[in-house]
Amino acid sequence: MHIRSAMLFAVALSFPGAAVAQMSRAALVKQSDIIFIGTVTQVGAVAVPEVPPSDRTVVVRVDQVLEKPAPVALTAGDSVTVETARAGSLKAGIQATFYTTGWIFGRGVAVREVGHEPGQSPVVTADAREAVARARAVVNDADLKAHIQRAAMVVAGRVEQVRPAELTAAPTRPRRITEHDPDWQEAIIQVEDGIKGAQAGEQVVVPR
Amino acid sequence: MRARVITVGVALCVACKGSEREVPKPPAKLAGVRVVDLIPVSLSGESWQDAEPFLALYASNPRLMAASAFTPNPGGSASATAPIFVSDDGGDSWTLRNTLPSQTMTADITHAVGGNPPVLYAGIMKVPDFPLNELKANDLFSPATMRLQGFRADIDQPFVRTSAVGNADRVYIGLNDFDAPDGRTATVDVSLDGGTTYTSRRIETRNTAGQNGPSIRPAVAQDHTVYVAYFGWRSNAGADVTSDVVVVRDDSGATGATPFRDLVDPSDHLPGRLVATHVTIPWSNAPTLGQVRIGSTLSIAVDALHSDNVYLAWADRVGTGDIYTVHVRRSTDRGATWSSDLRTLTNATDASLAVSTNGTVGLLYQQVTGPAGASRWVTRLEQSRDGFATHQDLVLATVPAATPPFQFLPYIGDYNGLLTRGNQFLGIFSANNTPDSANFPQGVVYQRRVDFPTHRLLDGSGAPVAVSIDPFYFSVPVLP
Repeated sequence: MHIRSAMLFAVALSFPGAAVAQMSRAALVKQSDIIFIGTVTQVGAVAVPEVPPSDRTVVVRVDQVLEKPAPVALTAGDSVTVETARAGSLKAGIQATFYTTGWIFGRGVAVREVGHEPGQSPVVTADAREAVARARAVVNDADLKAHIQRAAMVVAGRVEQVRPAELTAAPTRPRRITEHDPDWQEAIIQVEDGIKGAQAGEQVVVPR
Repeated sequence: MRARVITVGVALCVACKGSEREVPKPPAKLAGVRVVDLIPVSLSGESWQDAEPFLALYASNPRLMAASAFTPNPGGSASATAPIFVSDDGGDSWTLRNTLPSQTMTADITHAVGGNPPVLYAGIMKVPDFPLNELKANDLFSPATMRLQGFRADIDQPFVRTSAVGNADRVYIGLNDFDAPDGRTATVDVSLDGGTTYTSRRIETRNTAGQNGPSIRPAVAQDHTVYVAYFGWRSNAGADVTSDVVVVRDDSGATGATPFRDLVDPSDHLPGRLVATHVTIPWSNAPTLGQVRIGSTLSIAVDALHSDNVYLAWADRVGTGDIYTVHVRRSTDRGATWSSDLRTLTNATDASLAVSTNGTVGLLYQQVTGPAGASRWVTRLEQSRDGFATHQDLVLATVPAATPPFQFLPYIGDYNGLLTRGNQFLGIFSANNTPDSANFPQGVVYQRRVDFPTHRLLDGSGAPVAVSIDPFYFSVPVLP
């Protein structure tokens, strides 16, 4: 039997958009999946042949990776192609913290700029890392708070059993068979700490 | 103690000659064969289950190709787009581009290239909620998201084929449309104007068990003959479905008011030739055959230059101790009559057929072999010029069937892809990605970081990466 804590979430979040220049660091972090300190080495150029050069593309040498998805191979010293949010916003030699999303992955990485923070020059790596980490914590806390607010129940507990679900709600349309049908299971959870909507000692059933 | 129920929505051949001392030899390498792992070096840390691959070719530019799999946007679950693989060097290298309008990844996806001009059409089941999106990209290298041309809910397994006629592309998307009347769900969305408009054509004319099977597969010849294969589900008991295997045909590109009625079965005079009747389809949405689910393997291919010649492959359960068996048959008279089984492949799935311009048929399939506990997924390409009286057998991959453990279903896919161009068969399959030359008898090229001597995958920093399922592109010379 698996023993684990269960946190039950039921919502997804989105923040309203804002002009890049006015975005808070937290908003930049929230929209980004690759964040790094880098130095612009070429303007109107690309680092990999898979991307056509334009007046919005710049080549940035990565000085320090602050955040990236685990599958992405990106280390200090790599050259990244950045599609800037607007043409002419970056000049060769500028060092900044780049907030980006992954765009093209091939022999190298090309990213799309969400925003950048020039900050001090040179950027103090420790300061930038701490600032991004702090902003990420703010984003994560906001996500968690929203999840908790919308969830019917939040508990820490022990999964006592997992079994095929016995859903009581009748389907509203004729049954159809696809390989996309959910294989509903339900977990029997012994609540050890009732954070919302349940109390310690209760047993709850969670379909999934 | 109280028990409460809450509902929480969660998106949820060795060919050995006898000798005094028989030493197994690796299969001989065939000249000109290439096998390439699609995962690029910049995603070397990737460990996702990149299943259900598909491939599209640009006739106008042999170096240009598109490919897909259940590969997520590396950006994570908040990403608004999903990726597609692109090669501009004939399949030697691939890049991942996030240009599909689907959250992080797609569910089912297939695609094909039109000719006026050479644009990419895709049929996807979009995440979330899996509605059909019929998409088009004029420029595969554009950073723009593919353009939406048609959409609706309640469909399954969109399967795209195209042909070019004059100055307009014809697009045929086979799909299972649950909103079709009377449970006759086998449908082809037909566009005669490059995807600008689609008309849903119902191709089932018989009563069903409430629906057809999910796989509806079109194939188009140069003379505009269109064949479509589908499963006519007639009844079900438990997890077993009793089904007919049906082929319809249209001789004029489905341009008429009542298309797909040019092939009539002599038994009931209804459109749709019954190639096999009352077969047992084991419908199992669970890891059943080497961790893969089963129930929808179906493929049809027409000789593009001689539309009389058409091949059909499907899988069912024969009931002789098999789990799932692939059958291959042929018609040489436009589907009017069919051979008996030309190939019968036990415990195999994901059959894909293609017919080259010289009439050679290619059969790609994946088969579980070996004893339980040491079984392997073996991916083979067979070629035949004589209706499988004889054939060339090529092992592209032989990998452990039990590792890695499945992350979700399908494990390797409900389908893979085989196409032909000139003197090549070009295809794609998904398999365990352990960098072990013994697993790829024809050789293999990785773009991602690997260490062959230690059989390890490595991330960007050189740290080991867990074995997973990757898509593999291949090209094989057609039998002369």
